[in-house]
Amino acid sequence: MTRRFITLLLFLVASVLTIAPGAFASDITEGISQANDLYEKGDYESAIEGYAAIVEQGVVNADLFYNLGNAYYKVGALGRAVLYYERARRLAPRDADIAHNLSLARSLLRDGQFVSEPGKLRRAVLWIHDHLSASESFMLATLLYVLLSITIILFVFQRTRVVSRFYGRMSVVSPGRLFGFQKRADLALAVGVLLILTSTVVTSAWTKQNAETVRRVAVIVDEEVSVFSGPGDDATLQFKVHEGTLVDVEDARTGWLKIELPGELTGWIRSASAERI
Amino acid sequence: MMPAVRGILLCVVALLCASVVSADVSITASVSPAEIAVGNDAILTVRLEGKFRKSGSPELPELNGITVYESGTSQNFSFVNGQSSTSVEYHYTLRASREGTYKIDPIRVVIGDKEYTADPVTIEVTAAQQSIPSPASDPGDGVRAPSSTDPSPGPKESIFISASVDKDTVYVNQQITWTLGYYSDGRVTLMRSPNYSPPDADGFWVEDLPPQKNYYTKLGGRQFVVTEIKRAYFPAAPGVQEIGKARVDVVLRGAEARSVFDDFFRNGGFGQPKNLYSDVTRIVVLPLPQQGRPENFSGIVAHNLSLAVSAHKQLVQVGEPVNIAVEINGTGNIRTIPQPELPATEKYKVYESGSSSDAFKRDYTVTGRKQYDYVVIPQVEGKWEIPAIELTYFDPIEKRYRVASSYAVPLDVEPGAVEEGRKVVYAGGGDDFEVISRDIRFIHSVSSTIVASRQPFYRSRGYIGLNALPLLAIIASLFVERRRRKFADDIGYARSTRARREAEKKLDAARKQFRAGDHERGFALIASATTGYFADKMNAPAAGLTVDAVTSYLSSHGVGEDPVASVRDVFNACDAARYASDPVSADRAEEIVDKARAAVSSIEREFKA
Repeated sequence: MTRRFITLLLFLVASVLTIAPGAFASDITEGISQANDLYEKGDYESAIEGYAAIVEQGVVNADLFYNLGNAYYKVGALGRAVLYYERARRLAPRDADIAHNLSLARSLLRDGQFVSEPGKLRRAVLWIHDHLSASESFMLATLLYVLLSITIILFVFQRTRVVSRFYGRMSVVSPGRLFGFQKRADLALAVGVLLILTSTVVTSAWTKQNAETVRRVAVIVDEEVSVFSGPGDDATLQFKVHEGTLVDVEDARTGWLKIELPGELTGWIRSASAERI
Repeated sequence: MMPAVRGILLCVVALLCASVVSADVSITASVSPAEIAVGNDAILTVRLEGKFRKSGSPELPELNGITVYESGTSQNFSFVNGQSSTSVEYHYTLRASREGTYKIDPIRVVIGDKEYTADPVTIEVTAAQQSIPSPASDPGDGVRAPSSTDPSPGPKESIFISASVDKDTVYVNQQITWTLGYYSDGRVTLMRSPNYSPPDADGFWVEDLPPQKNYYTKLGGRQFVVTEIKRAYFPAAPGVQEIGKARVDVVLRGAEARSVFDDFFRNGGFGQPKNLYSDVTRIVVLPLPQQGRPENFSGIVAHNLSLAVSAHKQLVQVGEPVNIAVEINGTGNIRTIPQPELPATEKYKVYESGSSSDAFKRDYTVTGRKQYDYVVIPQVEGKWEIPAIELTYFDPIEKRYRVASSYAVPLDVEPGAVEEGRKVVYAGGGDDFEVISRDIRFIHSVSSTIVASRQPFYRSRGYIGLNALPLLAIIASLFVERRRRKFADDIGYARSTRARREAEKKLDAARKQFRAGDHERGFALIASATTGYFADKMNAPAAGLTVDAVTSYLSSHGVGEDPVASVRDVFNACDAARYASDPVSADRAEEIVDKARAAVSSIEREFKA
């Protein structure tokens, strides 16, 4: 029984760790290096082709997206530059270079007034959410989940001698002691706190993953895009948005997207005019 | 954010914003001019401004002595700094029929579920210069002389319509005033009001010109009551253009009817429908002259065009947005004036932020106002100007090209704050430190340990599987703890469960003793194993446990005869071996151990069954 369990565990660990075949990773690295060389020589168009070819293979990498955003910026394609900076920021939200270049690109947008920055309260409350990538959120969620599971197991075995001895040593760092809690209440408090923390981080992680899956936010990539009252050329032209503007995608029909801008401005644009982040 | 959390946050924000939105609507009313003579017109403007999407029409109070005609609306929608705002103007033409001072009570407008009211306005009506005379009192003076385009009706026509224009040759986009006259000599009566259908007018911009006019005229020696409707037409292209036929549908009670019965029997009681048509009007539209046409002419045709540029503030900081309004006024089709470009310089950036237009109709002439709004972001500090704007247009009255120009707008731009709330100190920078320009940061070099994954680890099956392990561990711990507690609380259960394991341990030890040659100790262990096993199963003390007690216990628990017999054999074999005078062979000892093990196993199976 025990041997089978260990075999299963080793198999699962091996499955997680063997994500990228070595040969594939080295091809990617080589491809990005070549595109970087073209960028350094000022051949930005060729650099874009190089980076884009790797992106089309399905590679998801913050440095790759950042470099592609830089190349688009250099050829004046601000919409696509913002698109790839945003994609890079999702993967590396604390990267100062990405934040700087995204800020600079945004300052040049024609529809700068539509860029909505979160308020101070939201930034404070959701600091962890905003400063961790989806991968980091899932790692933290896993760590907390394991800690929670261990604490629950300790709670279950609280009457055993082993757990009593362990609790005697660890209770020095227990916050429940400050309130005079006994072992049972102390462990229950630890379970409660860890449950809240784990739920919060898991929610954050799933939200990020959901955003990656649903891709509700898009960037206008055409220079000027007409926004109509309905999905068709015969609908009323309501207003125009320009490249680089972030829009929420509310609905989609064949060839058309329903978008929403801050200020409850909604309308339909051709789907080729925007790319989801 | 999860949709539910996001939804709750949005609800909170929406509740917070709701009061702001509703409080942001303002309503004003104004009359221009504030003093008119009887028979003349004034324009009443009701203006709504703020954050709203739809509004009801203004509810005007009753005005005795003043007739009100709707004369159009204009709407402006703008976005500035992500905020949208709407302004709507409702225009009404007021025609006074009696002199006096009229107070127009507060005008009400309903937006959503709230009601807004404008301050009351006052209009002064002075004595008439010339009123429409009544034919009964003074038919001669009251008859309007027929113009050159007045129709000449045949002797039998009591009712007819006639269309005319004020000019038949115009320039492109110059106003033509088209007039439709409805003539009736009073010999026929109508069963209901005439129904008017305007003419087709492809190739023209059209504006209605209220109010309709009523007067008397003499044609062919007969007096007619005339009702006139006017429209302004602006031809869009040169050539001979046509304003189609207008139609008026009437239902006659009967031209020669002398009594109600006479009319009823002649026309079946439902009247006699009749369709009246006007003639098609042909207009010669001249192209704009080539001679003197400026290179930057953008096709504007207007009279007395004026241009004004204003800034909402002139003392600003670098990077601080300034709202610039370019207002164009003049006579003509002002709505079609294209957007003027603010001259581009490196000192500022320009963004378009909206436009609005109004059309006014005074004395049946269309005048208008068009405003284009811009947001200017100063990039350089110092005192400098947004240069003057020029618009070149063609004046069809003066038949020449003219230029309307604005004044330059001076701005005093102060240095902007470097970063809000932060003072940046550069070590060794001193006063000479200067940021020359800003550019994006350089590309990232590729790490040799780059993990190029097609999908993130958290979507792999392995990761999802690993996450199940802690949950399984918790479930297992619950199971184990439950078992442990049962062991602790129920001694009989604990002994019964452990009985076989304990017995097998002792039998293994007995086998070792036999192999070591210590037979006495070996048989003692077999006896201890079997007695202990049954003592545990029976939850009874091992000391004094007899074969008979064991076999009766087994029988009472439904154990078959064969297993009971094998137990008895083991007990007897042990006793025989332990107390025999001759030593038992090693093979016999091993055989007894095997028998004891088999007996324990068979009893265990019987209990489980």
